[in-house]
Amino acid sequence: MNIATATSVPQVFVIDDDPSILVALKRLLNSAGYEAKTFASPREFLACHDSNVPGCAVVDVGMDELSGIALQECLSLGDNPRPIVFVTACDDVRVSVQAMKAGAIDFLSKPVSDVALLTAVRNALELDQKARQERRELAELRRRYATLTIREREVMAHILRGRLNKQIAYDLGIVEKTAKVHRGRIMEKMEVRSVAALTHVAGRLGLYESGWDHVSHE
Amino acid sequence: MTELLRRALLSDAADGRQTSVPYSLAHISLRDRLIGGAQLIAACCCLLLFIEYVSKPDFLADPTGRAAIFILLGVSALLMLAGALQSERRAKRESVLREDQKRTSLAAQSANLGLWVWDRASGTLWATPAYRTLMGLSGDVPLTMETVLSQIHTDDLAGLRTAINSATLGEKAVEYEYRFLRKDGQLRWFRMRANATLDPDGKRQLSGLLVDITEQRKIEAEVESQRRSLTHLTRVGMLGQLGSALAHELKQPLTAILSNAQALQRLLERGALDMVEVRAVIRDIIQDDSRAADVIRHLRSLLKKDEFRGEAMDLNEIVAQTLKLVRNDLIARRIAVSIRLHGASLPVLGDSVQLQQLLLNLVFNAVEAMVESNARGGTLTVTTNVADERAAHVAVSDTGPGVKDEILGKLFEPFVSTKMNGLGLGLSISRAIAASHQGKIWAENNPTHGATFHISIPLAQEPP
Repeated sequence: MNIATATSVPQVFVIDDDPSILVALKRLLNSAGYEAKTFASPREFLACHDSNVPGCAVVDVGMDELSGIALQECLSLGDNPRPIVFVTACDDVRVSVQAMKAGAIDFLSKPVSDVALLTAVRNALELDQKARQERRELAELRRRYATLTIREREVMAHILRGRLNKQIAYDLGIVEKTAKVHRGRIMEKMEVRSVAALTHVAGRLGLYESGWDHVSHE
Repeated sequence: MTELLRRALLSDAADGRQTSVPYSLAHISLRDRLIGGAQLIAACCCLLLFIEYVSKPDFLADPTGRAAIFILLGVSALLMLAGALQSERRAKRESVLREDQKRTSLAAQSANLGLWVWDRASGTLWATPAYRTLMGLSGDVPLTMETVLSQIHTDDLAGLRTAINSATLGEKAVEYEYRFLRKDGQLRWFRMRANATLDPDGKRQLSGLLVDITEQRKIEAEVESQRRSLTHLTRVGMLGQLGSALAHELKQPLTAILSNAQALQRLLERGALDMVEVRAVIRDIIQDDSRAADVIRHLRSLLKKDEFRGEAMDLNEIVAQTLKLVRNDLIARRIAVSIRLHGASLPVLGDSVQLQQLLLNLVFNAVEAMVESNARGGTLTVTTNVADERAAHVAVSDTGPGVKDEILGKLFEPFVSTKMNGLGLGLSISRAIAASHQGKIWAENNPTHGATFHISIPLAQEPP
């Protein structure tokens, strides 16, 4: 993750084929203190889309070319899925159900009131920020885990099973003192102070789901 | 026609119902003239012989004188015989003619035809009793052209005068239809036919006939009004299908208006007002408001039951407008739309609402054909062009199953439908609309799949 984009101001990307609505929504978002960028079509938006820029999208459903739902699929595929607030002038229930199932923040009917839109945008931006924060932390944890040697990962698996140094030394055929050194290195490299914290990190890294075998026999 | 009139006139005179026949029609044949001349010469000769006898009594004794008398007697006898034969032939001919005239008059009366002759020089208008009955005039009122003209609907008066003038001057018969306000208060529609003729003295006069077409007009008007109601009703029915599209068209400007106004409200509350921005916002609000009003006006014009209005317009624009209206509906039904408009404008004269109805009908038909046959949609292609440099041409093409050959021929007849729930009126109304624009509508199957419907409407003359 590069530092420049991570710290940039969140953007609201407005996509609608109606130019007067684009101008009006941009004004409304600006008046609430958001930075907004407008695009006349999903194609135009995707052409210069950078998923590293934090923010959310406000998308009109029922446009020509690529429909809003197809755009939603595109945006959810990358490393940084972007939350979407849909607005629509059609009263098609099927489309809204489909959109909500695919993870839309909200599905608003035109004409949309400022409160509804700004609330949805605020929720979307919060979600985006939180998701990005989480992804950043996870990346950091992965980086830390990557610094462990194979032996240290083996030892860590044993620690997480609740084994004591003595038991670990016996299992791995090493002396207890060596096991203790490994434990200290692991705690240092993973930047945790307790076994409980290490367990939490392991959970976030998904080590339990991916299994231990590959770790212990490598 | 003149002959018919002539016979009818004679018959009325023979019946003694009409006292003043405008002209005598008894023509003297050449044979009559010859026999008459010879008789005159023979009479003169007799007179000369008588004078000769009185002055010279011994005239009879002279053999030459006797021979002259005998020859004269023989010639006179022959001439008398010829005269008798000729007059008998004439009597027979006249009786046949009279019989013929009687029949013609009866025909004119049973057809409720009024016959008239107008002598321009004297200003008298001669007419049959049937004519007077049609006009609601009693038998004893003296007729002049002016009394008739005074009861004619003011809107038709100038046209009638022009028709009469051109009939007087021209060789051909002139027809004109006009409204006539009868003394009993009834307004009748008449069709007049006038023809210039020469009377025996060689003077030009105008004669003609009069038919009451009020009932015919009434039926025509009723048919037209029913056709209009049907056109209107199907249009209103179509609006049901258009409902969501129209709602969409209305919501767009309303959304822009609301967001602009609320943005302005927020700026006001924050006291962060930039006058340039405020002006821009207000300008946009006004603009979007008139856009919403246009949608409503459009909707109302489709709902309204209007007379046919002929106005100049660009057919390209009508096509673009109509497709804009259904665009969202088509997207929802997974129909791809391809529009290829002719480069230059296509000026036509017509009723924009009816032309939109016509196009909508064809578009809906195309879409339904595609959706019914294939849930995955299809492609609608609308093309405009110029055909033969004289007509604007629109083609609406689909990728559906096409039209069965046995139906293709009668597709535009009423109550012919290929749809499950179709009434079969849409295309017959479409044809009526095309016809009222002096245009044509026809359909054909595409070489690969689907059908194409064509409309052609004469191009209006561009103002110089």
